[in-house]
Amino acid sequence: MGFLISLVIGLIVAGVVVGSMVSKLKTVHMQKGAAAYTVHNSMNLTVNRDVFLGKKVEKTPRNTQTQQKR
Amino acid sequence: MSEVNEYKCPCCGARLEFNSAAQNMKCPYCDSEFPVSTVENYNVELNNASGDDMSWESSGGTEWADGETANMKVYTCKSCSGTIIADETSGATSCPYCGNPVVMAGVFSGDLRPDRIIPFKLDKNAAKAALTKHIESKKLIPKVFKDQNHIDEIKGLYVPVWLFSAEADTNMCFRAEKKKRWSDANYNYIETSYFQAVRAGKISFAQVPVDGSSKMPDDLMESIEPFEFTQAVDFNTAYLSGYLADKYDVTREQSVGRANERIKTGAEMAFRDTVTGYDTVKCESSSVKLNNAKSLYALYPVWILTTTWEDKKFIFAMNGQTGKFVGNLPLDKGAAIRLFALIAAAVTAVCFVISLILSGMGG
Repeated sequence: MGFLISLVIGLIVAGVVVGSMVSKLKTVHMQKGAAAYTVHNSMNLTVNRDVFLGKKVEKTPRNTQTQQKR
Repeated sequence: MSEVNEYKCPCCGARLEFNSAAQNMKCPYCDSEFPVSTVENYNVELNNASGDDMSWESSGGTEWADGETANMKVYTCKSCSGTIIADETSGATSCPYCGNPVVMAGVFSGDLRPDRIIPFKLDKNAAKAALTKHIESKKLIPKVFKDQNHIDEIKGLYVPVWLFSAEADTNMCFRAEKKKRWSDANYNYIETSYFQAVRAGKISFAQVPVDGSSKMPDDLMESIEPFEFTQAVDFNTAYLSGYLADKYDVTREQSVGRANERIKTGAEMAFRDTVTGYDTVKCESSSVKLNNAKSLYALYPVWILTTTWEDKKFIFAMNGQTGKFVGNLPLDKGAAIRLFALIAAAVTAVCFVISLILSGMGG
């Protein structure tokens, strides 16, 4: 049992380390948006309104997986 | 005949139905209920924030003066059909995009004269050092790839870009949720509160670049951003001396779509940042109208190197102004598997020994 847990930990750590190294090989990607080209202090907010629409409560029995909705 | 409106559920986006018993609008999919007036206002705001007006003044680039291009020669690549410009003294021998030999096709003529240029700030030695560092810092690339790289062939290239500047007049609706969790003896509860956040206002963008060369990969060019436009100067052919230059083959009109996409996303991200205090925020609708929308044609400095490995082309690029270096590298699968096995074995052994020691202390 102790060996199995150790093996799982070993596989996870190896996966994280190697996965991190693999992800660093890709450095080319398209930009999202144009944040770097925003004119400093140019943003002027004229409407700033948050409206509450409603709420919903979901309850789940603590000892089962069954989900009930009210 | 009256118009039949369809109202969207603020929770799941499905079509709401009127529930006569509850006198509310009810969602048949998620069972959420909302007062009629709330739903009506919610949908009115959504409709207000839809439809863009993103048109641009036709500007950017000027005509060449007589004799200005006399010393500029055009070289074409027979392999990728790239067209490169170099001055008479510098010349060009190989294509910066594919590495194959180029031939001189004649004297440069036609096309538009760039409005501005950012001159190279970093020299070839800085580019070579950055490339060496870029490769050496990566552990899982094939050894043979490191051996085969021909760093000396890195080339300074002015890449044509269209620059777009505008004020974005925006109107946006975000759907936001706040969750509250608690439990009693029998149940776990999750209460989700739904909000509509309406934002409107203006934000300006200056010199958003769009790659004007079909040979230069768009993702590569955007990966070495940002460029600092304040260091741009009026174009002069003297800046091309010692470097190669590409001429645009993606027109301003063809670049507008990408510029609009970047500006709209940029505006959405900026206004989204003002919707705070929620667990989730999602942009549901947005409209952007551009004011004072103008464009420029410019040349940006890029150090570029092409390497072919196992019949696959790898292009590296460095921002010739800031030194930002990018380029995807191949994965040595064998090395990755060996490293994975080594780390897994080592960590497993250490954990197992620790578990034995702990169980020995416990027993």
